[in-house]
Amino acid sequence: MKNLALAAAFAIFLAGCSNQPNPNQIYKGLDGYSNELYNYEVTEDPTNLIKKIETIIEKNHPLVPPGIYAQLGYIYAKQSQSQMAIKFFEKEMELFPESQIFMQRVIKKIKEGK
Amino acid sequence: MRVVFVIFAIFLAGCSVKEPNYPSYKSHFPAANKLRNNTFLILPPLNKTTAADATKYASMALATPFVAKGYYVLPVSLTNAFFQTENLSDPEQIHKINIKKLGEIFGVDTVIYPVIHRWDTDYMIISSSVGANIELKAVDVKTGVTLWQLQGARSSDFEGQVKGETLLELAITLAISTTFASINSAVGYFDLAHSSVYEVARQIPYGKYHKNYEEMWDMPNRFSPREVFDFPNLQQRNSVLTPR
Repeated sequence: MKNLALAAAFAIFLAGCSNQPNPNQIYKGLDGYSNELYNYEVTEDPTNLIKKIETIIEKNHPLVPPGIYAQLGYIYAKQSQSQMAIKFFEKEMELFPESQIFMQRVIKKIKEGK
Repeated sequence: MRVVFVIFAIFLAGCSVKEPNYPSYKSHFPAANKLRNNTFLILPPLNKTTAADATKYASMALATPFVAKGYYVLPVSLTNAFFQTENLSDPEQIHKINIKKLGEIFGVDTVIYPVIHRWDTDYMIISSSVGANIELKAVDVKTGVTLWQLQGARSSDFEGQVKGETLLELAITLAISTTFASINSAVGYFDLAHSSVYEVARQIPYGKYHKNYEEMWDMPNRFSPREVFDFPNLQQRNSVLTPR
């Protein structure tokens, strides 16, 4: 009984401390995402980055973090897969209207073959 | 009855250690509070170090901490590539572009100007510690007002410089210093750069995609800039490092 009370007290103590907002709580799976971006930049092999992006999309569906689809679009654009690239840039635009101006500019560039 | 009293006392203790007089986000970032910007373009960093690849690689560390904070950030690899298609590859040149023009082209309300002050990859020869020091300045596109300008620094002998005040900070510190055990791995210095950026990101207000966005402005900022770690030894060590 005494132990239980003690445990309860400890739990409340922790609760008293832990109501800080945690900046990582909006999206899941972002840990290590930057590292994969870096590895892609170094090795130019997108396999692991794409895997990471798929995990992030799965874990957060339907609230995918900003820039994730645009990053996919960039990967496909770099591999000259224009159709796929445009598809993902459009997806980014649809989820985040604030990206519209730039996404349209990028899509236009791809269509012009730059 | 006594047990209840003890519990109550402990509960109070649990609450009272966490709130020294931290300023609210509103009072510490009046311009950001007024303008409520949420869409970031992060420029390629100016490189003040002698590490030639710092700009290219540090770029990859810049976006995620702000995405995690609730902001919309255009992917840096995409924006960097865009500048290249416009024949702009020199960060110095890019930093000089009129901010209104940038706002027009990228459709953002904020431009982030990063500067790399320290980026060591060759600690074996130069010094016994590796480190990264990145400065970030957020500027409002419409008014040209600086929303915040902060510097984040991490080095492998970080433990010796910590001034953590709370349990949470201590826990973060411990987690960070543990990763230094494997510092000579290829991405060791990248992790330091990433932590430096994260250190900046945690001091600033949340972005609109964070669920506490509205009430945050009146909340105390536990990581308010003047309370955060300073690095008195860093300048000194930098000056040893610069002339190679």
